[in-house]
Amino acid sequence: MRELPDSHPRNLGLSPYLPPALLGFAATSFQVYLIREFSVHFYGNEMTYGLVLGAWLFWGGMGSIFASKRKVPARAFWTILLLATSVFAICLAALRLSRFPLHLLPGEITGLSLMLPFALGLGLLASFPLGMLFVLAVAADKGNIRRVWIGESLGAALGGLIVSLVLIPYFSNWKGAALVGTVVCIAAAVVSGPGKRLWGAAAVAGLALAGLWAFDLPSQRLFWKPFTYLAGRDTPYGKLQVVRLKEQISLFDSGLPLYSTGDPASAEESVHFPFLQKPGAKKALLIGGGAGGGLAEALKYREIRIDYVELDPEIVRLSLQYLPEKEMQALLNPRVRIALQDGRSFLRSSRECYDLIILNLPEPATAQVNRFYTREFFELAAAKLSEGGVFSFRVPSAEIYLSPARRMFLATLYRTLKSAFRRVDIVPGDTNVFLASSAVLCLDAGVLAERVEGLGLETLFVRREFLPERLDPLRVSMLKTQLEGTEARLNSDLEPISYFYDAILWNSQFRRVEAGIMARLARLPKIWLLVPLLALGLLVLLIVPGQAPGYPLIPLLFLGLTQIVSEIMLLLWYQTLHGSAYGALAGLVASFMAGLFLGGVIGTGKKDVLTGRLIRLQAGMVLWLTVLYFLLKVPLPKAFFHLALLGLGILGGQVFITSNRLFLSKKQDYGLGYGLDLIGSFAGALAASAILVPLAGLAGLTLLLIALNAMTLAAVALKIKI
Amino acid sequence: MRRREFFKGAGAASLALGSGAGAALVHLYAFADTANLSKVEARYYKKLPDKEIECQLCPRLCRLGDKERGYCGVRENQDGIYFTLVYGKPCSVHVDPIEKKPFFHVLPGTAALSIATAGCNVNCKFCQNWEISQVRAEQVAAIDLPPDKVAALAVENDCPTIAYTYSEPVVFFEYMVDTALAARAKGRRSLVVTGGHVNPAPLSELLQAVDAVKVDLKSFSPDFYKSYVRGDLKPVLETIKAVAKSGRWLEVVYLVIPTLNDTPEEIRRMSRWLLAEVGPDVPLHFSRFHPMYLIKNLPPTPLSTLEEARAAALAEGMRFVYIGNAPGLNAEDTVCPKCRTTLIKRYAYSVQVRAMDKGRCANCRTPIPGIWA
Repeated sequence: MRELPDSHPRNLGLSPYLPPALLGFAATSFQVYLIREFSVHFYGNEMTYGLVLGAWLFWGGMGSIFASKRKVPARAFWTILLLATSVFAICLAALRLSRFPLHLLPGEITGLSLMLPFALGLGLLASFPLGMLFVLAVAADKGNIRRVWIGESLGAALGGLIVSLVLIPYFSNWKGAALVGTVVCIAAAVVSGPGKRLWGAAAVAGLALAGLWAFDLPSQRLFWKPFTYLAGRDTPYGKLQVVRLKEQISLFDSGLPLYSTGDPASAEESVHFPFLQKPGAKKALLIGGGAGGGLAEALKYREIRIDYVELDPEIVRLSLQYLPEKEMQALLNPRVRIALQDGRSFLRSSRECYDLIILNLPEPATAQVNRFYTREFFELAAAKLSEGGVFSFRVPSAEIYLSPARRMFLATLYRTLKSAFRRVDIVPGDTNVFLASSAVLCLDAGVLAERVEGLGLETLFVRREFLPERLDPLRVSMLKTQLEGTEARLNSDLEPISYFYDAILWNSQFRRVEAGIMARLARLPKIWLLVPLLALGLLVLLIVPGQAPGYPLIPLLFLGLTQIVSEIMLLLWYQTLHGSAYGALAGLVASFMAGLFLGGVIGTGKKDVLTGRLIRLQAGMVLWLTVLYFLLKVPLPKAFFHLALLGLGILGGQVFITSNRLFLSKKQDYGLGYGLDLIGSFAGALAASAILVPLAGLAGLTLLLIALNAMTLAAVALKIKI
Repeated sequence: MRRREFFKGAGAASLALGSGAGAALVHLYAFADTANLSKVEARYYKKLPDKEIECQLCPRLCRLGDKERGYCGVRENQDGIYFTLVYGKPCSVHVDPIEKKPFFHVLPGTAALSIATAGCNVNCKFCQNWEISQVRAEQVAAIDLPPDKVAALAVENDCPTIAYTYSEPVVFFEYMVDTALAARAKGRRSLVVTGGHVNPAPLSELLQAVDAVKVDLKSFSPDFYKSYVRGDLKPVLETIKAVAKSGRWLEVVYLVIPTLNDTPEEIRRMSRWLLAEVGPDVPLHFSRFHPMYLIKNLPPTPLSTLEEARAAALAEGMRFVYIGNAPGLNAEDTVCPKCRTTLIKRYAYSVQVRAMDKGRCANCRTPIPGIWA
């Protein structure tokens, strides 16, 4: 057993829970900020999140194993924590300024080939040292892994809550990270006691954090050059930035353009094509896109009253501040009622009946947005429409040729929309406007041009001169024929496939093989996707001999995977039923962390009963997953999700402690269990939301987890020998 | 047979066209992912020892070993012989207004049968048609449409012109030249919409066969071409000069991308060069950029930038300067450079020829350069 360092908190009369709690606090906070900034600078889809979270977990696991194998002295805990804090600040700066050495434009998107090394590089720099710290904390606490686990879980829960509830709403990402880092530095200095080397490390960290705070605004101005950076807000939902070029104001959300002034084409298309179907409409619902010109266009219809739903209040606030007079007045028009909430929950709770529902959101590139393109949402929209009312949305397309990837993406939306509406028509072009109704729709250019003129609408694009080309009957019918002839799956809440198809399309821009592989995966029957994963799990269970000291840790490998996949599934499921999960995210994660903490607290007992306990816990995990499976189609209340996550945490915490204690009774290696847990989580993070959820669906994925955990249960019951 | 019948289905189209382009289109949409490649020997390449070849079609001069493809992805060295894989294999066939190309001084208000195969010899980060230009030949669903069938389609669909467009037609050079010759035999003109990366010898052959060329001049800066196009400015300028010298009709489009190629100085230099090398009568179109392909998140060009660019080009002496993709600016009309009469009124694809008389201003009789009949 290693010596306690002089600076260990117990020597100062402080709680031994403090170092791991500080570690958990720092690691969780840094992880959140890294993911947020990463998705601003690289395209923020599920693959991005999976990559950066996966890289974080992988390197955390590797750091843990490294510290254990290389016997890094426990006294290095504080120095490494402070250096990790400094390095993290540098990672954030490197991410923001990377476009200059990489010769990227402010608005240029990049593919996996650049994203992958960045995710891995940043994960290595930021997470590897934090992964080492868990082992050092255990060593410093004389191998009391349970106490360290509890402390880390508590710190992580606290970090998640403080970042979500306090820092993100009031501070930018850089300033929030600087504040977290400062707290870590001060706590480290106080808890560890005086020491020349440590103060040096604290000074370095302090400098880096001060740099983050001071250069947040200048670095954003630099990033946007030669645009003029006007304002920015880091909100719970993303990063809003307002820039100006000459007279043109543009609003970006996490790097993606929301609107530019002086470019009414998008707003005209999204509003007038559905409005012209029902020129006498009295009541319309606009979900998103109102501030960027949608409202101004809709208000051209004199009789209309509009409910405009926007998730992020800052979009409206910034628009009111920076939009030209005409667009700004639209937001203040008495015929407009603005609701600042999730569009799906608004629609579900609304008692109104609308003549028009216009979905004006980005294409379904993420699971979060995909909720608005599922069969269930389309059915909800159909139910809220008046007789003959029209529902519409627009997505990017290609006018002259639909690649197989794009066809698959569009065909899924078409097929899904058709499952909820009797009539569906599509306006062809570089963007496709999907129109759906129970009544007959009209895409006759002459008729629509007459309606435009009859209503006295002043438009630049939706007008007689453009419509015959845009609504060429041959193009209209050709597009439908193509989509009807393309095999594509239905996009549903429990099998959200559209964002996977969108990811294929996105990847196909980079002339790389990923798109081809993904397209093939999309065509595989589900069973072929799940069987190899099960076989792999079985292989691991079979080839590692039961007598091997590391065998009790195998449950941890699958536990990490099970936990993260279950968490992702529950969050997706929650936001499907109850709207955007963001507002509730902190509470949901806190429930899980509280479970981990409780699991750690009650994960005690004598060594001779540990095997039996592990068997019971594995059986509990199988039972928990089975209950989840049978409840998947039930409209569950919010409380269920908190309870489910609490239960998952309790089980997970106990499995972690029990497996580790079994292993540590044979071998003093504090890092292996933690490392395996993180590596399992890495695999889950990488595969779950980007690939497995859309392809296998929540039900298929739950079955996979049940099978994996049942196999683990059998292996534990049959092979572990104490 | 009219467009409707042609596009609508296999049966009628097949009857009308013999083996049937219509049938081929149905095939396209039914078996979209099936590779459909040609094997026609390329015309411009040099054989080298050890079955290597050097492609001499464009300035890239790709040197290829056996089984290797050129940069364009649609030409392959097979056992020392260089083949085009897209001869008679277009993936896009449409009937477009000629203004969409854009050609403003060629038969205004008419339709152009527009075709493209896969492939391109540059890689613009803002490509509008990247799904066909930035892929290999087998990655698109191509149909069988030999040159004589294209010409027949143009006749059947009342298209006085055939446009080789969307991707980069230089990469389907042999197909384009043969189609242009077949079209000419049927009284149809050919229009090339190109980035201008082509070597002098093939360009000279091409100019014998076609009637008008629109060159996309993407910038007047060599650095821009290197960074955002992966090409060179010099050969593009040489192409513009060669087209003008050949007597074929030339129009130039300049896509104004905010912050990248939009400085007044660059616009003025470009205008001065055009004035000196090809004269003031070449129509110059400034086109508004919209987020596309890899530059998805750059905002559209501010309208004032487009207006300033047009003003600068006019001030330098160019006589026909237009702004595209920005209908609110009303800068699409053709105006007599002498008496300022509006000769052709345009709004998007709606065209009214108001005061043109046999290629002259109906008011002051000034000749207006272009192909008018």
